[in-house]
Amino acid sequence: MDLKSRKIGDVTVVELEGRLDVHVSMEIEEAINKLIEEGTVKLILDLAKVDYMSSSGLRVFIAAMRKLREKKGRLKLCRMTANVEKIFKVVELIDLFEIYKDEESAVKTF
Amino acid sequence: MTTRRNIIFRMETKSRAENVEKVVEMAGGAARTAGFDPFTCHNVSVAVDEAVTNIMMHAYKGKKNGLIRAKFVMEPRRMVFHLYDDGLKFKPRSIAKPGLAEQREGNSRGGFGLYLMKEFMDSVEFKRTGSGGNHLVMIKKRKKQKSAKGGMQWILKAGK
Repeated sequence: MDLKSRKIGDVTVVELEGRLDVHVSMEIEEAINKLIEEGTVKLILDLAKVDYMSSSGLRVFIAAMRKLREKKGRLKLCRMTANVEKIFKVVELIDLFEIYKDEESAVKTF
Repeated sequence: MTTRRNIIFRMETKSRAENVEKVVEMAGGAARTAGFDPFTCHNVSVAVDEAVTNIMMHAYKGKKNGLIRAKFVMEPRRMVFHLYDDGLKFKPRSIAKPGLAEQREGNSRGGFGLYLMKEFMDSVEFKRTGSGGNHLVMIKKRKKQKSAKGGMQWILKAGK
């Protein structure tokens, strides 16, 4: 799993790529926590290149959302693949997150 | 007259996070060999992923040298996924969907794995082996349909 981050103004966009399973979830969670500890409060996770996700991925997103709330920040998810969206729908967590079709819409609504 | 034989896929591995993908790939490969559609192959892969992750986290409590044995059996009317471990007894109280409010407000972050296994498979059963280990059996059924020639044929159940 690769993780690349970049800034659009005061918004941090993190692109995840590959499989998001138990093997990489801890590493991804730590990387996201580091960004939040360094001051990120507006965070977008771009999931366009995540072709596979288990519930370990859901736990990463929930942890990030809670950590950002503690800092009065917000987490947004964008460009979900069908496989990832299916997992969210099955566990009915779609309403828990702010989900956007594209990055531009996610950035605009902060 | 032809005899239908079951096709068996086997693997033994250690309870390390990097090995989950290997078992999942075998499950996906077995499902593809059986002719499941891509949607169902993905569901089966996720269910097996969650099962192996549970073994690592709950049966072996993170211990990295626990043995996990996988045996996937393609039968004419169903695909049976067996997973064996020698870890602590795994006894799920229930397979309930984790609540949205609980996830939003509470401290809980889990409970999804078992729920996904149940949703993506037709049956999920936890047993004990004769030697005191755990034996998980998950089944994905095929669906019977009329063939164009009027006879009956088994197709693989899509969806869920």
